[in-house]
Amino acid sequence: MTALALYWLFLRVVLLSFSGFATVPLLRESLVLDHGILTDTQLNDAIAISQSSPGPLGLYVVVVGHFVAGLPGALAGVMALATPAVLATPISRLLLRGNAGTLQGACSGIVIASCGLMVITGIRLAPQAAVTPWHAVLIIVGAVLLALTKITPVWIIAAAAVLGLVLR
Amino acid sequence: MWFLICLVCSAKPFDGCHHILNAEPPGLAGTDSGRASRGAAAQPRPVSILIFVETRVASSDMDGPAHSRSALGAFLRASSLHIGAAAATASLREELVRDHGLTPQDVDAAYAVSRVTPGTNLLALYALLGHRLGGWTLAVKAIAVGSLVPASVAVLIAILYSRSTSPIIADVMAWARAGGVAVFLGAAIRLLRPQLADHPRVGAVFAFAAILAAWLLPVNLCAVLVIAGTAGAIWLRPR
Repeated sequence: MTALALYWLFLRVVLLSFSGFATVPLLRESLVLDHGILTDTQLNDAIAISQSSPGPLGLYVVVVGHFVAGLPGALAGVMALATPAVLATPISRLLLRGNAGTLQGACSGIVIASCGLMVITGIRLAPQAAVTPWHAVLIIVGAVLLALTKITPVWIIAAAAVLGLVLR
Repeated sequence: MWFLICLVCSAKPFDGCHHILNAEPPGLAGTDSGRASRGAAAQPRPVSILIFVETRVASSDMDGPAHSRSALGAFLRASSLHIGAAAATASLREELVRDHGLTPQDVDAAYAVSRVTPGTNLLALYALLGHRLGGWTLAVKAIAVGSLVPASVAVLIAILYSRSTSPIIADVMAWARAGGVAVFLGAAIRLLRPQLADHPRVGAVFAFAAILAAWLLPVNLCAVLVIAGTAGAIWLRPR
């Protein structure tokens, strides 16, 4: 897949999401299931790497781009993340024109559906990551901790890395 | 430094100018709501309209190269020293309020808008605040530093990981992968909770329908989101 095609795919996916990880289900469907140019393990790796580096959560798209097409792919990921941000100012003006209610309803619908898709995708990604029962325990405990407390994701990844060093 | 001035007579509103409360925001010119607002000229405008007027004036007032560089530094520090949007937003808010004349309400308003724009919320926030402080030039620069710097770090880690043959790195990465799935699932629930609090019944139906569609039907997930957005515009819009 060329960097341009990858940019177009990333952009389509990013434009339909309202949070960093909401793009995962769509990217998995396209790159893993339809095109077969990315594996679930690589997708998991991209998520873990993006959690270990500064910046927004959606940055995992850049790592996915790197896995699929090298540095041009990574650049396609950066461009696809940056493009919708340019729309933020025109959208803020649209909100002030009085279409806020409809726009807010549409956003809520997309966010809720994205969450449903994320849960399904997470369940489908879990078997690749749970190579031992202890990994499965980490997935469940980490998800519950993150859902019920205000802990930041980086602590889950850091704890996982420490467990990897201690339990090897 | 920046200040609010009247769009009609360029005077400060508290220096004898009364236009500011009657001024029509640029977005409403010629619209029905704009005409309605002229009919109620004596009514004070909502705060958000004033902020918007303030933004347009402030943008042109903040174009000094030194100020732009300093603001760009704040965006750079926020994006390169913090993991995740929450920490970066908090740091940026503190710096822009302390050194660049924005109020906490300005940053919060931009944050609220960034949440309803498609794509990465943090980059949208950078664009809005950059535009406010230095127009489109600073907005584009803020997006560039906010995405390129952390992306370079992530790609560097990915390259090091791909080239590593160390079993220690492989073990750590296997656990980090499990942690990544945990974070992903936790993020989904975190994102869903406030939406379900706002729309308990309809929201639950939407989430359940999306799960069922993705699980059982051979449908394109983009189509699921487009349908959810259309249905949300009808059934989830605030009354």
